[in-house]
Amino acid sequence: MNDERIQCFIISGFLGSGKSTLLRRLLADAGSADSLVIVNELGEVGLDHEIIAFSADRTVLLPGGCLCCSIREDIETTLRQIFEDRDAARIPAFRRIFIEMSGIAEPQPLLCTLHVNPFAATRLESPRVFTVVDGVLGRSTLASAPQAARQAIAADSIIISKPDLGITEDLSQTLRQINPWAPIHHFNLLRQPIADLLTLFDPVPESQRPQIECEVPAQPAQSHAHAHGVRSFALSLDESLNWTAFGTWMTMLLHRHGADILRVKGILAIEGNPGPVLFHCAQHLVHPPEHLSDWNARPRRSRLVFIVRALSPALIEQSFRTFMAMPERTASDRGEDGYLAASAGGTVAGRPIRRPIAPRWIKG
Amino acid sequence: MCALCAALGGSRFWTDAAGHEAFSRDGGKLSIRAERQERVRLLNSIAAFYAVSIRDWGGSSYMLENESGQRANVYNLNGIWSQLEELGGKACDPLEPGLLSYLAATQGADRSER
Repeated sequence: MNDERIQCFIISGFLGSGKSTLLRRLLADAGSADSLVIVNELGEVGLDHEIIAFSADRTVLLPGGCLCCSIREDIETTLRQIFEDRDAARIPAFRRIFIEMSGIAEPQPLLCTLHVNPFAATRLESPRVFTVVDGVLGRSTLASAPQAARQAIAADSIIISKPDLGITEDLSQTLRQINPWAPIHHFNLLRQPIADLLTLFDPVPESQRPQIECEVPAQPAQSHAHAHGVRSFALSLDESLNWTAFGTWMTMLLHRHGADILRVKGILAIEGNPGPVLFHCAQHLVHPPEHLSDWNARPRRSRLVFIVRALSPALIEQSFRTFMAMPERTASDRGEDGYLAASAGGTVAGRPIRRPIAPRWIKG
Repeated sequence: MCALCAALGGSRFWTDAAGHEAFSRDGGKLSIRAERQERVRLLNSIAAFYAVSIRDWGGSSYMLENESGQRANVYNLNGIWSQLEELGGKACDPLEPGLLSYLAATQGADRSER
């Protein structure tokens, strides 16, 4: 075993959008020879498996249908098996994993599983979601199928297939409104050379992150709801944020409204920190905050972009500004007693309990 | 569990800045005690709306207590909100206009005192 992190790509997209065609073309390229494919088979007939049968020796089928229903145990078993096989040289030492999701699956449960699974957390790079959207039917599918909208919202990159058959300007605009960050690529999966797409799967250098700058209303009140009540908006703050206040507010917000906070991406100016902190969460899943060394000539100001469902952007902004103003008030309360010594003991649920004492140097 | 002090709940939460090398305060290290103290102060400003008080118990967990003396022990912010709801008897919603008015009013009162 070595410390090399393996790239992980999730291929998502609604039924018939072209996921399998994309995957087949990616795998046909010589550069993908060291890739492992995990395919989710929906139902009894493994059509997708037949399509990529040429790489069956490295294809792991997850039993039981949709990834979103029974993925946790399945993906854990699958990951353990493939890493044991890889470390024992029973399969070639793959450097990339492609996970093709079923057309009606939402990526979020899989992302959650990969986030908490110890194999994924220690052996894989952060997964990147590629969502394929049908250039002809995409707009109506986004309006009628909540799963399709969530697949687009979860995307790090969006590929519009069949661009020659559809009018894709409106589709691009709709996608931009529900996912302001993901770059949109128009790609004819049958005719265009695959080399045009391969660069999307290269590692993203730090200089190209964060993908925070995007076209969303600067004033939350100006945002408009789209299909399924989804809307995006941005908040910004010129003053540096107090990290403790931000964490308090965000955990409280996610506790109550996590299911409707579909995605948040932010670049934060934190008090006392020279560089920006990147914040990213999707529903209840919060990614570890990422620190960048400097602002790269960007103005030092915090900016958060939200994609929410059935929540008032104006109320979120009011709440954000109220909570961020709290540290100013509490700064005058220094010395107030809020500490209970471990040795003091206490009662929980009516039972007396006592905690072990931490040495003073550990408490800081 | 913390291997040094044998206290439960030693695992990091995403909001923890102290002990994280990338976080600093004007070039200096953040102290865990100071960060927790600040967090407890902020939390008490909110918890007062629910008639609950919060204390840092031994530097490794938080003790919540309501006016009738009911207590709950939690390890991180995620746990605090559900216990605050239980002890306070109402949902913790940062978008609730009543809570926002309360926080704004206490901020205004504090400024006028100063």
